[in-house]
Amino acid sequence: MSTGLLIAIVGALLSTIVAGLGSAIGVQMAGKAATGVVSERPELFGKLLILQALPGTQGIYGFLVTVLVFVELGFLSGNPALTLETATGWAFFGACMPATIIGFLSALYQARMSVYSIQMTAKQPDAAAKGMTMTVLVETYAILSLLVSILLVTNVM
Amino acid sequence: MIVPMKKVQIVVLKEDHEQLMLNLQKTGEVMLIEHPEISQKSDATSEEIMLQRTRKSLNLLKKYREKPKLVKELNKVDYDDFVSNINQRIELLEKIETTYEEIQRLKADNVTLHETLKTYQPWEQLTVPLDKIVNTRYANLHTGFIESRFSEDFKRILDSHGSECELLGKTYDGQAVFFANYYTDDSLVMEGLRGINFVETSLPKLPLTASQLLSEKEAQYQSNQEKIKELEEALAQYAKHADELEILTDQVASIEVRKTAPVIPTDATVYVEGWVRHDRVDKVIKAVKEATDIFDCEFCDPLPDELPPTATQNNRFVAPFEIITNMFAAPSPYEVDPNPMMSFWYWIIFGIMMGDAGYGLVMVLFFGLFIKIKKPKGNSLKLFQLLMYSGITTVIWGVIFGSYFGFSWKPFGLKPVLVPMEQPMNMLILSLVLGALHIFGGLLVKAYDNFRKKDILAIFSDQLSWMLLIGGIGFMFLPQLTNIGKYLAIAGALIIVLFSGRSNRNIVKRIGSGLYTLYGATGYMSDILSYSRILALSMSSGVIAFVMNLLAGMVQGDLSTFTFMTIIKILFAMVIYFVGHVFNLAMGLLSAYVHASRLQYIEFFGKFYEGSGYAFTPLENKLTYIDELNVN
Repeated sequence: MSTGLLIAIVGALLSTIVAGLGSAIGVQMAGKAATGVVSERPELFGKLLILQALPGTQGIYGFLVTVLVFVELGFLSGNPALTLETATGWAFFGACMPATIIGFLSALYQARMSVYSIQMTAKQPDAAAKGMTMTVLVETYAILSLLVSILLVTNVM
Repeated sequence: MIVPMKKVQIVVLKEDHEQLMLNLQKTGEVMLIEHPEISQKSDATSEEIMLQRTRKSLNLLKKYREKPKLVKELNKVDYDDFVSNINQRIELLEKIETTYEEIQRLKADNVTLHETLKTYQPWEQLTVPLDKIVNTRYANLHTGFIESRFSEDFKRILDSHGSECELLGKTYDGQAVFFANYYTDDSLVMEGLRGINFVETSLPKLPLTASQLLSEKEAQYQSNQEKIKELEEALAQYAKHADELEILTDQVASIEVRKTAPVIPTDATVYVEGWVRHDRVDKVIKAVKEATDIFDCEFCDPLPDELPPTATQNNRFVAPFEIITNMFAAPSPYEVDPNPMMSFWYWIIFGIMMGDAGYGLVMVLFFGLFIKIKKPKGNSLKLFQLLMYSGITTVIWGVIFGSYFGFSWKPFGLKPVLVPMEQPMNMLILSLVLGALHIFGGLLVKAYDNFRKKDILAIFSDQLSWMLLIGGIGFMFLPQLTNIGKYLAIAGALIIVLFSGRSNRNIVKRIGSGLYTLYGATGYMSDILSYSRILALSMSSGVIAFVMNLLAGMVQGDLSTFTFMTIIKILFAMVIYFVGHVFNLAMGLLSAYVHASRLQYIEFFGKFYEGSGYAFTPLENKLTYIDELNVN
């Protein structure tokens, strides 16, 4: 196995691990806020479940980037590229970073928005839709970095 | 479809008020309007208390009740019985409450008795009645406890002063002792005993010996226990009539609803105002006529500044999906009902996220049987119907993906069209194309709304333009259509720049505003990319199913040689298949539900839906336990 391949794999794994970590923390933060509300108002469970799941998107994006890198490296089709130049490896690594770093941070920031939206929904259940929309705005930047990662990953080789 | 509403205004004499409310509640077609300043509600505190009581009693009867039957029978009650027979049921409730209170009292009594028994136990060997243990002229009598390890020292001290002693029963307090000192030596002996931690205990002065007392208390304890048993059997008998308590709960809850309905009283009359569906006006008139002959009842259309509640009427397929929309926000009566379009897309997207023919079949069968057997009602019925319908698309997508419980299989030569695990890029493209079409669906609803408002220019500049731009960019990825795509995209962009700022008179401002709107393309792009979650979800559930099969396959091993071990291996493998797939199916259902909803709420509804309405909740009987009221 070449150094380049190793670097590419590490980059690919980081995007699932780090973005997933961000999402896990984020969903947990929102979940904590939601349990408090549900204990008082069980009828809001359905709305709060959606709000809680919102910071989970970044983890999905991280996973997506990992899968795309594996596709590019031929891991899923059964004939992996065993020799990869070190420079190409670093290129893959860099390509994973937007979805990794912004995914992690935006999941945390989005989770804070989720918590606020959950609190707003607790006071005024009809405002849940507005809360969802405002919370999702944070996700825009995770999507932009996902796009950059996809464009780079699919064009490195 | 959103049903138009009429406003109804009813005036009746004060003495007919109750009957009117009862009839309106029976029809369940009027949603009363509350005017915060002048509306009045009756006090329903007694009903609230009664509800708490019935719930408490139902709760404590729970353990005596028979397990519910596997196939639920519909709980039907006659309407006349429902509105008139309430006192009998309250009597039953009171009987249950007294029985329960008696049990509680006896149990508390027995706790005290148990304590007493423990206190007298060590003195059982004392053969004198307790009130005879008093100091005589020459002897001072003592009762108390010493630590068992000092019993030898104790005897020695007493012997040295010539006192008489008796060692009695032992408890966790220590050794019970009874002794008598010559009165002049008393203080000396007590001084000596202090060294071995003697604790003096005085016994109550009763004309009984300890053992008599014990047997008396014991008998009382036993008789209490028997009484408790009898009362619990009585409770178990009452538990057979627990369904009467359930009916009582619904009766009282319905009375509470009726009492707290807002009305406007005058000196001699009562004025009731409410909303009613335009096609149910006759029913309301009939209900009022049945209540009284002296009334005034008028219907009118809502005024322009009034917002009537929203009632939707959709076919059997669309109706279950209304719960998804209503969880976001109910549509306003002045906008297009999003449900017909939304239900179709929710159905498709849910299916593709699950994406396994085996799971789909399980969903259809399980939720279908559940509805047949357990007969849920209201929103839970709708949820199960939604899941059952989505099972159908899950089967279809499963066949397309060639996935059957995680196995790839080609029944009847059905070749999979697209295997997500093998062609993730194609799957990603499929997800994004579906996303774009979904968003087009949203734009079409908005276009229809503009058509209703006769705003053709808005369709052209706000919806068609975006479809041209997005569709054009899409075509640019296809080699044969690159050129056409380019022109379509440019045309779309031009329309947006030139027309979206059309409310501005100033040409510079108009173009500027148009350019700013064009910047909204990033929003569309991020919306479409968000549909990549479809790939991730269908892939992750596919991978988990695959891994479960791999694990079970490893346990199962080679089946070509058949021995006793093979059977055990197959049994173990079966357990892994079952647990693994049930887990994966449950997790898949949850995430498909959440993410399919999210795609509707954020990406789809964002294009057209305001959801500024509130749901139509008419005054009706509040039935938690009863399934049907039979009206003759």
